[in-house]
Amino acid sequence: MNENQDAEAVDEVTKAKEPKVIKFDELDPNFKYEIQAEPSGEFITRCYACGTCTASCPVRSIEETFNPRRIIHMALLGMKEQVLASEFVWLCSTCYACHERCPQDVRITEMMNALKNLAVKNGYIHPAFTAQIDLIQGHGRLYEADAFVNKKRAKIELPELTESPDPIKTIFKATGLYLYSSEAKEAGSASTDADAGATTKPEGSKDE
Amino acid sequence: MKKPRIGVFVCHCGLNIAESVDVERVASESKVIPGVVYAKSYIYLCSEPGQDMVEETIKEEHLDGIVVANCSPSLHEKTFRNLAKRAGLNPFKVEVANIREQVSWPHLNNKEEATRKAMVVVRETVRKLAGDLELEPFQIPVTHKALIVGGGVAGIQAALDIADAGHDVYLVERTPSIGGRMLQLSETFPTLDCPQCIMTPKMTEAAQHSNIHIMACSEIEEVSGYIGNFEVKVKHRSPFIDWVKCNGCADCAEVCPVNMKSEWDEGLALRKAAYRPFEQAVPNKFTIDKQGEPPCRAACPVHLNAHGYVAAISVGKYEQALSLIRNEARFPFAGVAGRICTHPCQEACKRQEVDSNSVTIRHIKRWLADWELKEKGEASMEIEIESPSGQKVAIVGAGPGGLQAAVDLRKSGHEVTIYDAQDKPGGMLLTGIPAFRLPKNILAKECELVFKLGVKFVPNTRIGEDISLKKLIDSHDAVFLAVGAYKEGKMGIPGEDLDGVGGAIDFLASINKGETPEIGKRVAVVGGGNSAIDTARSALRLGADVTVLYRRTEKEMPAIAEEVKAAKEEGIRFMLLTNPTKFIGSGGKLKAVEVIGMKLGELDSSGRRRPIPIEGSEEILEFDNVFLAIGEKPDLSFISSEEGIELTPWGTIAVDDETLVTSNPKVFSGGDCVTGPATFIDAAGAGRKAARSINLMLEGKDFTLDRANELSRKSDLVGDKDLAYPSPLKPMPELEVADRISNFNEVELGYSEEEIIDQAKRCIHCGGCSECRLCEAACEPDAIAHDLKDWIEEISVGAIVVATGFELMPLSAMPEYGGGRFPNVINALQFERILCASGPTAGEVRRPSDGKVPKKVAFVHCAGSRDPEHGVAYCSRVCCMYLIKQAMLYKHAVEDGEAYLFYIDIRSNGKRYEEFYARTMEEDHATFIRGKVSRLYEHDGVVTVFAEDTLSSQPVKMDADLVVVAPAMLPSKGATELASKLRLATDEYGWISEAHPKLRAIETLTAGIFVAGVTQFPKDITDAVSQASGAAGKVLVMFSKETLEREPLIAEVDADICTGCGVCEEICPYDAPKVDPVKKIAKINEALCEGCGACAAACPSQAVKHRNYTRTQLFAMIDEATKDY
Repeated sequence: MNENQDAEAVDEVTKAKEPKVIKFDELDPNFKYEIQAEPSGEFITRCYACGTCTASCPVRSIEETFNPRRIIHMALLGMKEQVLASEFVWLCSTCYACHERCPQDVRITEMMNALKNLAVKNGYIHPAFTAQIDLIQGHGRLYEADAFVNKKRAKIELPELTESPDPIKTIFKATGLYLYSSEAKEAGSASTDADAGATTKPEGSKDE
Repeated sequence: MKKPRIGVFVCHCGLNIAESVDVERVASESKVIPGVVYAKSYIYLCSEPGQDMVEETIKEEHLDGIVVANCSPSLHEKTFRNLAKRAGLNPFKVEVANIREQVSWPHLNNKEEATRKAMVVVRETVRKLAGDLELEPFQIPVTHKALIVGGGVAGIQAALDIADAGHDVYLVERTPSIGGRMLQLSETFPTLDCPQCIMTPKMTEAAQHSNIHIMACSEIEEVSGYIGNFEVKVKHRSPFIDWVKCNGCADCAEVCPVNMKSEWDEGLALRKAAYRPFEQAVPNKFTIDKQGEPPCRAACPVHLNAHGYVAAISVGKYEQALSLIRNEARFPFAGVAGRICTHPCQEACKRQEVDSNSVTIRHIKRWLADWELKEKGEASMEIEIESPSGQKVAIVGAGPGGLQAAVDLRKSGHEVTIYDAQDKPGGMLLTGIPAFRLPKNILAKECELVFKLGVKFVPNTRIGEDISLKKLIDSHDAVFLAVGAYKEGKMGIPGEDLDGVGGAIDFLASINKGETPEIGKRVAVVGGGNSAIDTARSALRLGADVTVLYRRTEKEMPAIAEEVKAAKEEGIRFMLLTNPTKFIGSGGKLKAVEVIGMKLGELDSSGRRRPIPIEGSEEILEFDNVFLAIGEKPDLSFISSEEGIELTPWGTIAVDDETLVTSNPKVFSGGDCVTGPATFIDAAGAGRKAARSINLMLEGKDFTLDRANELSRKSDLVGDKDLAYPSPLKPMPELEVADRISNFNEVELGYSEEEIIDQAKRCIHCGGCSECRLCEAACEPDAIAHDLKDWIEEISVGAIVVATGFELMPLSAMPEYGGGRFPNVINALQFERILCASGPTAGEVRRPSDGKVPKKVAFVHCAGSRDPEHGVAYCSRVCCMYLIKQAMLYKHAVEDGEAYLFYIDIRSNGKRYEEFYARTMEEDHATFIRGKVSRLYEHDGVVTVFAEDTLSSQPVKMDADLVVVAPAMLPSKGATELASKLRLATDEYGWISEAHPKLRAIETLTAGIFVAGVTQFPKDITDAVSQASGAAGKVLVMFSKETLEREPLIAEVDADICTGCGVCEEICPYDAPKVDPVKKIAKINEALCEGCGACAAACPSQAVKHRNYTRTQLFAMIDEATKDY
């Protein structure tokens, strides 16, 4: 194995994982204040990293990347990009176990909502949510009311469902949710900073 | 008026002030303030050259007041007042203008604004100074005695230090021994000293010190007075043992049958109700843990000490048990009550909360009476009769009420005569209860006990016929009417006078006389009470087919459930919801009964559902005999108008409920003739109550006072269900049905000795001590004093040290950790006991659930501490170190054991603490996991612990054999009440507030009261002892003088203006103002006044003035401060 190969291998590992050394000049020391400015994000600085949340978390017991204590600590350090661009922000099942047991009353479950909101504001959204937006915008509800559905409804004497997605689209446009839909993306509204529709930021991000 | 000569001195405080305030400008501008003749700035006014400069200037410039513009007056006011004194200036002509904390620091980046504000502060302070009076401190005397509250290590240390200096010390301790928490510990960190070794010498020294007066089992009841002159009422809680006589021999504990959890062993071991907390207790005295009247005893109408005799029987002390009934309670009817009592005691028994069945108190009592007859051949009752009173009491009726009254009255030395229409005593017990329930010889023997006391019995004498009631009243000092209720009830339906229709009472009386009444084959009994069931079972025994007709359902039957059950077993038929409407005869003889079906309607006045006939449901049943048992009434035809005894509309005698006196003040009445048909024990209770009234009356006392609740009372005391003896209730052995239906032999056979002890052990000892009085007999020096009451001792002291310590947050407050439900999750103090050589396992590490040696122990740090969600935001400071110590000791005791400590941060900030922590890791291989335990649960003897190892970011799930939790430390129970008695402030958790968190950490805000140890805030032994010695030092400083100097900056009342409204009295936290009730003028007790100013602000007429803080001065300051706006 030559040196180049070694270096490449190391490089691979570094790329695949997070940087091994926290580079403080790349951190955003104001990130915690941004979180605190969000509703229910205000208690994040109470955390003393006891790990009660992680030990209580049913998601963590099956998914290694989701560790509430670690997320809070990364946020407090200012690892804004790593937190907001991450998949894990979206994994919280909102079971409130951490919330109930937290000795410092950090209100973690609701704080996770604050992080999700910030992620969206910063252009990161999980594809699962884009898919939901597309469905609701396209059909007016979370599932399609097709002939199969209406046939079943008719059998049990329920009225037929018709799709009227237009008012929803109006609402989505007014609230900005439209910008996250595939339709908007295809229409090439690349000028907005919220067109990503995925948890990775578009080009130009300094996050590697 | 002389022109003022004021000097202003402005301090730079290095750059602390000068950085943001232009001090030179402040000084120069101060010179133009009216009254100011001198102003200067200086780099450090508090330095020695600075002080010298000020002192010189005062002299040279003949200043009559100075304003020092520097830091907060809480820091250097005193410095400059002392300086003024040295310079010949009255110290109260010194004022501080705070331009550091209130000016320079809050305006760091705005020099212009800060300088302007500093000027305002100086100017207003000059205005205040202009109004200041020259005051002199005043002197108050000092009592050279100290009170220490709390006998833990801090209290003992403070006591020893003060006592060694030659002053008297009262050491008040709530528990029966001094020693406190430290003595419970196994070993102490970081030196591993054994507290029993290093602490007991101190305790002994305190006990033997001629200046120390230990008051154990005592609490502070009331505190008045002020620094140097406190008056304290100490409440000694009765130990129920005379401590002067007690020699600590433990004989009382040896015989005590009542087991309770030991507080000293944190509930892991048992102690007796008569106990000494631990072997080396100081004082070495025993105490009886008696919390009050247990529910069984309270519920009994005659207050038999059921708890006592059950406890005595549980240890085989039958003689004593019987003596409690007969001699203590003066109750002759052990055997009778043991058979037929309706046992209100058992209804109240809290054992029911353990396994649904009460202790079978009635059967236990019966066994006792049987044992007596078997062992001794006869019943006995030994009551000391008081010397003859010369007074005579007549009792009419020898039933249970009359006989019980006779005993109680005879005891007081009265001459008592009982008149009865029967030839034998017993009343309804004799005539109404058949022998298969109450054998006649038992009744006879126990009635005889009454007459052995010298009570006279006049048989075969019916009042009203053989002797008139009037004559009886005239010839006696008091009369008790207990004639019962014998008149048969009538149904008022056709055919009641037919031959074959009769009353149950007559039928039973005839049988009980030994006659065999002629009855037919088919017998009906109408009614659902005890008489009905007794009649039915008696008729059955005469060979009849018996049917009980009852108009309600079985649930509403007043008869004892056991009797109904026995009747059914014997083959008696019950026709419920059935009522006769007509008796059909032929030739004057009963042939059949027409009955009607009933249904239940609304609740009636008795709380039972009213039966309603169902029309058209009539049917005819053939019977040869019908006995009516439907509510007897008293026969009161012997009462005539001339006795002045009123009756009720229901045909009973009218009495006062509390005293049982009738409308004739010499005549009392109770039992069935007052209440209508009721129970044996209610009648006996009424007899006892009437006797008390009569005794009081004959002594010439007012018998109406304080009589409420004399019969059955309610007690909510519950014993320790954890300690409940596991035996279930054993049903009473009975004669086989075949062996009993043809005779009148007693049905219930009684228990064996082993069975009765087993049953007696089921008692859970509500209220602790049972008053079985076994200890009295065992105590050689005769020290037991069951009737000893709490008493108050008044002491005068000059200083008080509060050292009341802590308790642990209960596990029940931590549901995540099982809330105390898991036997193998214990608190750290319990583990200390387990590790301790003097502990419940003698130092062997064994877990509480099964006594196994735990091989894997998890230690939980920060359980409740640092946890605002559990109400405690603070760190309890000692848990890290003691858990580390416990892990080390555990590893020493169990070499192959594993210790895991779950921590958030390790706080090892003491001398040699960090090294101790390192040693536990390096040499004892304890494993530290950085992560708080999120929850734990126990299953099959294994405790599963959940946490995150935050250092590896991995969740941890661990199965432990034992979990030791370090709960938050909380102030002792009652600390808040004590603080309010002492007028001390506490923080939001109840820890006593110190006067200054840094500089006056031993003083409280109330002068003359000091704080030591954990009662101020959690701390380790080292710090507690140091603080205690510090407090002692403070006390000794006070005691080094004959008088104390007090600041004169206090409130005073202008008597010309004061209207005596009392607002000042209400608002003062120190009780300093008192309104003279005659003059209607308030006066301030100068020694009590702390100068807070609350009264001056509250006084509606402005009569109260705070010296040197008058309204004039304050308004002048406000004017000055707001001039620019």
